Amino acid sequence: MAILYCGAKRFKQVILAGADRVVNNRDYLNKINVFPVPDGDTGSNMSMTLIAAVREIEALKEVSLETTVKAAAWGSLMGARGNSGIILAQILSGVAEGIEGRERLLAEDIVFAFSCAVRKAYKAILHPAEGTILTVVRETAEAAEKVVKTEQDLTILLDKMVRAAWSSVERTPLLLPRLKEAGVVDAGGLGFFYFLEGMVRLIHGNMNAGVVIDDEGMLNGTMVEPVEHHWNYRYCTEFILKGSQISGDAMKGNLVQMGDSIVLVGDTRLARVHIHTGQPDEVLRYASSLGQVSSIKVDDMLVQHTSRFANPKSTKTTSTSVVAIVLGDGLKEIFYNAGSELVVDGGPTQNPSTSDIVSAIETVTSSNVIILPNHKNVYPVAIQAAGMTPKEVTVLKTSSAPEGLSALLAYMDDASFENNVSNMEGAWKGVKSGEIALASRSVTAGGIEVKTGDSIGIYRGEIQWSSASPGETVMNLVVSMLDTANEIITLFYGDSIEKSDAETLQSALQQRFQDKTVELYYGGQPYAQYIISVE
Amino acid sequence: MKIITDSTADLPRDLVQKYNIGIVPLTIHLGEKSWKDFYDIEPDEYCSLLKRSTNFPTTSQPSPQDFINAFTPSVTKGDPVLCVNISSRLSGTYQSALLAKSHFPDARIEVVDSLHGSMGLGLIILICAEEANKGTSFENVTDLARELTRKVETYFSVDSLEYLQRGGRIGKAHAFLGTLMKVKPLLHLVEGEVQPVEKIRTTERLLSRFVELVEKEAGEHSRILLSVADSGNNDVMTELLERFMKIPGLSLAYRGKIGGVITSHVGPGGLGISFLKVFDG
Repeated sequence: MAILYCGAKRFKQVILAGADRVVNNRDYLNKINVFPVPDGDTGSNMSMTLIAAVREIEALKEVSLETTVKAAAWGSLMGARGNSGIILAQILSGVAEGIEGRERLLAEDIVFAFSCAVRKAYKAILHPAEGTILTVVRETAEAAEKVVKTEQDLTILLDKMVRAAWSSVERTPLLLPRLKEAGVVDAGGLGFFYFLEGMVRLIHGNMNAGVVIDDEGMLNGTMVEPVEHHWNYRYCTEFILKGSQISGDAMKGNLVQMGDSIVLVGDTRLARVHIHTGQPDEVLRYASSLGQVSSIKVDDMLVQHTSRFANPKSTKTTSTSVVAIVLGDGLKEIFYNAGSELVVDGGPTQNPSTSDIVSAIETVTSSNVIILPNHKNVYPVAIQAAGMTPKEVTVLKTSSAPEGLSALLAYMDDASFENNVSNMEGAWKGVKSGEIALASRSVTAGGIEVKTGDSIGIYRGEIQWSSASPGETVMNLVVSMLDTANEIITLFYGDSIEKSDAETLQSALQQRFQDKTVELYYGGQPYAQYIISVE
Repeated sequence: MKIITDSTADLPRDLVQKYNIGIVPLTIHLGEKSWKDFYDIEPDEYCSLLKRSTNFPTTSQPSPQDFINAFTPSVTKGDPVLCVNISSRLSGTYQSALLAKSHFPDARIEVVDSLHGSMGLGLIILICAEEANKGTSFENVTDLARELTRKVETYFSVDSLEYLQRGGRIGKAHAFLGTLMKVKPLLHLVEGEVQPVEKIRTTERLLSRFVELVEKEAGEHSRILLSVADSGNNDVMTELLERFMKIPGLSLAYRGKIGGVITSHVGPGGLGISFLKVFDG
């Protein structure tokens, strides 16, 4: 029986079947993964990506072809892991763009959608290599274009596409010498083949029908041998970047200085980035300077690699890792500099999600983690995240950036976890912190009259002063915070404050409080003109 | 027996005279000027010179001949010599003393690497001198000196790491270099080498950390013997000492001044403590 169109329901079913087939072959795909680096996770990455797509489809309230395809694209983009996962997500979003506005798909629509997918996938990869999933998708799409000239039956079209995909997969070792050396086909390409094959099997309603390959026979039990690889870029680093200021091309241009295998998908509003680099912290720092970074995943491919071939016992010895949550590029830099292994964006105006903190905990190298939430709203989220990981996690109750920083200065990377916890706990309590923020509306609070646009000084949760001049508010807030035992007044100026104004204010403070030290740092925080610490 | 050390022991003059301790000086160079440490310039005077100077100081170890000269009178008399020097990880002084010893193959001379400097080395010398005064044998005092090099603890703080870095004595505290926030590093001498302990912002925190480090060693069946010294940081050291004196079972062996050579390497503003836990009975 010929099938001439595909609607929402059928589309959902074939995606599910394709994903299922990939998931079922995950281990095998992991095993044959040698390109671009033999990190043995292609099967897992493609599976995770498709599972994310399926979850998004299943969560749909209003099911139409368009919402279903878009859900698949969005879900896979958000859940994409690894090179192959990201390319798969591009294929799905390419398909989504290609069929926008359709209620049902005819053969020619599918072929058109596939050509969009190919274009999108090639565009996402900085240095597209042939003999990979890209080649398989492209050759499959090319074959489909030929078939559709004479054939409108979707069953036959898909059959032919699966056959084309398979012969393309078979040719990958001819295009990529590294595959040939290892005696395998490309794992990503094979994964894509499984994805199509799962669909076709469903359409035939017979899991044994259609194109079936003999897993055992195909590669004749060939074992993957270690392939010589240069480990300058040993860290597979992935993250989601929100609200970036610069274009994808400009960002790619900068990333290429820091690593290879760069995949950048999405737009300035929301992008998913994948890079193999020697300095993941540098990459993350760079990304943090562009926008909000989340869902960070850093894998040491050398560890993955050797663990497959050398069966090591343990990989980690550093006693303690620190994760800090803070907002503002200057403050982030200061936290990184003071020893925080990861800094997650978050603060008064922007709370991180539990999963952001969980992934940060999972990402850092030590199995003992200290979290500096640095805001009272972040603390409960951090506590929740701490309970969701097998790692040993202690959350300190720091409720401002200065408190977090004081705790962090007591951190020593070679001290024991217990010593770090107790030293850091003892270090932040003598610090007082206040904030200068813009009043968003007029109000009278605690006898203080505040006008819209005033700089209000907040200390101990209360407005202490309000004035049209930030400098005047800072001066008066410091007076209310200071006592004779204090030694240092520190100003962190926000992104709305000019450096020269901040410096003028620093000299004025030093002039007025001559027996104290007044320090000034760029905080870059968006929510407060100044953060003030007195210690 | 004769006890000899080098000028980095930073011992107060009265104790040096009381126990007739031989001091072999290192030399300080600042700009065009040079001084024999301990003999030519007082610590406070040097500290204020250093604060005002635009030059960076250097120091030089005594020559083997300087030690030969110091050993000769005792060797001639047939007295045994115990010579304890600044950590060999921080200075070549110990090496010079060893070479001088080889010049007297038949004499009874023992040269010990103290693994400490300033109030740590001074504390070791003082305890040995007191022991020798009681009539304890040369062999036993020498053994005691070697034992003390492992048992005495030395912690110190500097106002800035610049001097340690430029003088090449920063050791593992280089980890603290490049800290964006201004800090007063708390440091520890481990195996004769500088190790970082904590980055500290305020004097208050610094003093309470010093006290904590000593306090945790205090116990019912032991006493703590303490020596302290500062480089141009007199008032803060006075405050720190007041806090130390509240620790039960603690006695102050002496309060000294960090001399010119060590000041050249830690900079003005340094605070140092050394202590030894002594079990009763």
